[in-house]
Amino acid sequence: MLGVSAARLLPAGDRAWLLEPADPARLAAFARELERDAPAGVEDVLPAARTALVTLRPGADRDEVAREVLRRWEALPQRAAADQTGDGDVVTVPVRYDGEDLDEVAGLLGVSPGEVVARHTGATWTCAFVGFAPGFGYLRSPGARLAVPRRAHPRTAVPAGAVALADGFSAVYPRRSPGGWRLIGTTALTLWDASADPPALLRPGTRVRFAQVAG
Amino acid sequence: MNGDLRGGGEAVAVLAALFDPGSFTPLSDPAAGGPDGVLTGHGTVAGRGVCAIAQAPGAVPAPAAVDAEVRARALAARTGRPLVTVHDATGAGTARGFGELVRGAVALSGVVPQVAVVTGAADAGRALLLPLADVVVATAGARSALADPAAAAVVTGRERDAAGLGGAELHASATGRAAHVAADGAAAGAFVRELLGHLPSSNLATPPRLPVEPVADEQPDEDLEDLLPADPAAPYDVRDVLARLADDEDAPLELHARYAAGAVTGFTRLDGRSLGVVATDPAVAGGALDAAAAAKAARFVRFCDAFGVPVLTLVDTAGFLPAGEDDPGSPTAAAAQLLYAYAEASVPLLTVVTGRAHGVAPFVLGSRHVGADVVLAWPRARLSPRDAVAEVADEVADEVAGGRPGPGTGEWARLVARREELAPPAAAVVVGDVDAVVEPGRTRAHLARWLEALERKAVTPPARRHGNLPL
Amino acid sequence: MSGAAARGARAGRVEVDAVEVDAVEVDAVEVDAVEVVAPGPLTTVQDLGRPGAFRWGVGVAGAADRRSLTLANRLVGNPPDHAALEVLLGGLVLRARTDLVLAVTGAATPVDVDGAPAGWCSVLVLPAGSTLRLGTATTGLRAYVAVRGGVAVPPVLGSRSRDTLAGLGPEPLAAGDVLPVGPAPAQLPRLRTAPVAAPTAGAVDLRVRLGPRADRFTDPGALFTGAWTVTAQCDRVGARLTRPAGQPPLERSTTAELPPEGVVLGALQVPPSGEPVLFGPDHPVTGGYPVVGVVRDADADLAAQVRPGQSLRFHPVVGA
Repeated sequence: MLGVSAARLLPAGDRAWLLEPADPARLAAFARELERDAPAGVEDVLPAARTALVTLRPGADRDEVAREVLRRWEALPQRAAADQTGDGDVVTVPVRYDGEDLDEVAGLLGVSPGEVVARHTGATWTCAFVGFAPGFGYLRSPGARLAVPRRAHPRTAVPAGAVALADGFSAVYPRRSPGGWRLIGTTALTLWDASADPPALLRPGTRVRFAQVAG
Repeated sequence: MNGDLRGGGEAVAVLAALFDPGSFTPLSDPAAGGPDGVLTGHGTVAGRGVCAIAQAPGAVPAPAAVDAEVRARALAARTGRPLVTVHDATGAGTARGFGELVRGAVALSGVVPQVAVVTGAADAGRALLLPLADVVVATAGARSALADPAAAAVVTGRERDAAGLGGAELHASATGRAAHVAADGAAAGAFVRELLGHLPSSNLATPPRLPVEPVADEQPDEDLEDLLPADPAAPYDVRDVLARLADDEDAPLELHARYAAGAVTGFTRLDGRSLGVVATDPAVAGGALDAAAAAKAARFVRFCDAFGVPVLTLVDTAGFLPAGEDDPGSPTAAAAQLLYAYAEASVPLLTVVTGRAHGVAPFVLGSRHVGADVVLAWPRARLSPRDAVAEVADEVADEVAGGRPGPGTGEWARLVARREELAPPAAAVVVGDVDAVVEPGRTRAHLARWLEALERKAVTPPARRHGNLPL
Repeated sequence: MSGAAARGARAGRVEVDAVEVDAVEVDAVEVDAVEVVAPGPLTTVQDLGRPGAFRWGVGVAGAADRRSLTLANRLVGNPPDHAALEVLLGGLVLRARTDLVLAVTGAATPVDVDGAPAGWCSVLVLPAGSTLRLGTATTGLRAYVAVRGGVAVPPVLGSRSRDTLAGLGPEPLAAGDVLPVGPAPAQLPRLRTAPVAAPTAGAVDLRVRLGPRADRFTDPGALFTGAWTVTAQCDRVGARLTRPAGQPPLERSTTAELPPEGVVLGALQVPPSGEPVLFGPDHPVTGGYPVVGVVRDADADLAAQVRPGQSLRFHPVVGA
């Protein structure tokens, strides 16, 4: 029987471990915990859907880091799952629901476009992890009922500020980039500014609400 | 067979290209009732006698075939002729047969030149026999490995590809066990023919000298300097320089060209005389010698010394490769072998410092102090234990550490340039590291005169079983 | 002046008094120091990257061949993490607007200063107004040009590295760009030439630790059999590898989707085609295909010098 604290460490080269817990819900909180108080030898932590990558500083003792990472995972408070941000911040993203794929998404879900908007704005989303591009947060909301697959053919260019859905996640494209997600709206909010501190609005654990604004 | 070497097989192709046409006389020939699997005999190469053993491709030779090999070796020993062996079989049937081949090869070492040519597989014991020859030539399809492939696969967990099983490519570049890779048997035979032209028939003979126009009548080669960059750290191809120093501007016949490239080793001709060449290559790691390059040069110097071939050493080096002593690549042990080889050599040793001579390496590489008969230096040579950058850095370091401002970039550069000017080769003449400073274009003439003067160089070695080379 | 007098007074030293020594070391960033005459196919500014930015979805980037970057920095007396230029295949032409001290390392690249051949892996002096030219590399893929003081463009998230995938950091160099150079470090160059071997043109051996997803392959050991060839799809993000038919393929034992997870430099990610991608410094921070193994960190520097068409052989690293 696996307890909620069970986890295994997979080797990811000689300078990283991949932590794969039985229960991934607390990974963002775990990453914040390691950022707050990094064990000796740990360079950085990257939580993702079901794993967290822990990278090591050059010359760090792999085995020692492995023991410490597992110890810290087991010591992580259970309530961390419920309070992932640690600071309780909620970012509100104003959205014009004018995305090219909004009707298609509604069709896929068998609901009206208005219902898609209602579900999107009605849920509280949590940034589960970041990736794909700087500032690109994978937003999860278990109750949102907005799971649609990616487009079969990705767009070569998606504009900055595009609000999108795919694979049960929602996201905002921080910059113009190629992308295969389904676009439901746009926001004027700046999600990424490399010269700002912090440069990204979203990071693992950040909670997000979407608010409809008039087109 | 009687002089007719038109038969099939790579091994026969080697002999056909090696021997003067019609000169081959079989000693043991399967076609004439000799044992299967081996053809032995003798003939002439450029008019001088050479013995040869050629295996037929395939299985383990029968004891009678091994006997024929042993007899051919004995003939080479009795008559003082170089021995060329062509390998295309694995093992030697019995330990006794193999032992006789090994003892024969060791007994001939340093007595007559031994060249091994591999045209097929030379595995197991044969893989150990090959390195006993002075020079190993492989054809492109040849291979040689000591370990049984099945055993190696079990132990290493890898089913090895042809390269891992000891292909010619591997031995030419990674292991250095093949001195040369030829496209086929005929090309291998032609290479060996040229190689033997640089060597005497035995340790009691002298290498052949070709008739040439007197070097003294030549115009100085004013263009040689154009090959040399002004920046002492800039790379250039030392083979181009070697070719300009040679008769007919021929590139040296290089051995191990693709292994341990920091040292160039090979044979050339100057004033018609055969000359072994050791040169650091400024295009490889700043002319620095690593362990492999030092060991390669050491073996070559001893090869030349064994057969009375004078050694010309060209020095342009930033030193031995700096490495920690705990580093597996540390050149210390191999550098000691090279030092021993030069210090032990009794053949004429001529050295030209063509550029940088930093660190211990120039001392080892045929310096006056290890026994060179003459050391020349070109005007661009810089003989100092360290380079100017290091000198000036030390000079100014105390100031910077003491909180006083060090020189700015431009001033620092001028200090370095000035210091470089302060280490001309003339200073090395004064302290006795160099005998004379010569213009590059006059070097051929100087070397020709020294070779003439050293023709009868004789060194009486002390009585001993043999020295203890730091292997 | 006192510095020169002190030197002259030191016993056993060669007299250098005649050379005037600057009283004041240039202490600030020299804004107008290096002019880019031609950038070659791709020249980027790189240091040792920006570790610690995963929280923003930002990867490490940095010099692809860190060993060559740090060697170039050591040659000119810089700290190892100073920013330098990473030059793909050569072709870079720079003009010095002030006196500069430089070093070129990495790919074996012919170098000249005002047309005169100059040393590779050696300390070069470029007087103001002179031109440094890199020819086409003979072996290796990336040369590094370090300038004493470091390339002092403004850092982004703590690093001056260009991340070509994320579009972060200074833009690749363009003709006409003028680069600032930082204050000279206290350490002087200590060696004229670093005797190092040039990258090989032959097969490159890389040691690989299997995992984290080796269990998703029917025979992960197929990676270690025979050789792989680097295809033309090869940049700072990664290098696609291929090999002739007949060699054992890297077959995935499950087609189940892998949710995105963090990947590292040197990871061998295997898409459904079975032809792995060897990740370089600008790899995406997460990937959705299984990673069969990861090249040892030390060997990633060797991988960075492998050209399209060259072959790679992988060897297993044993242990957890």
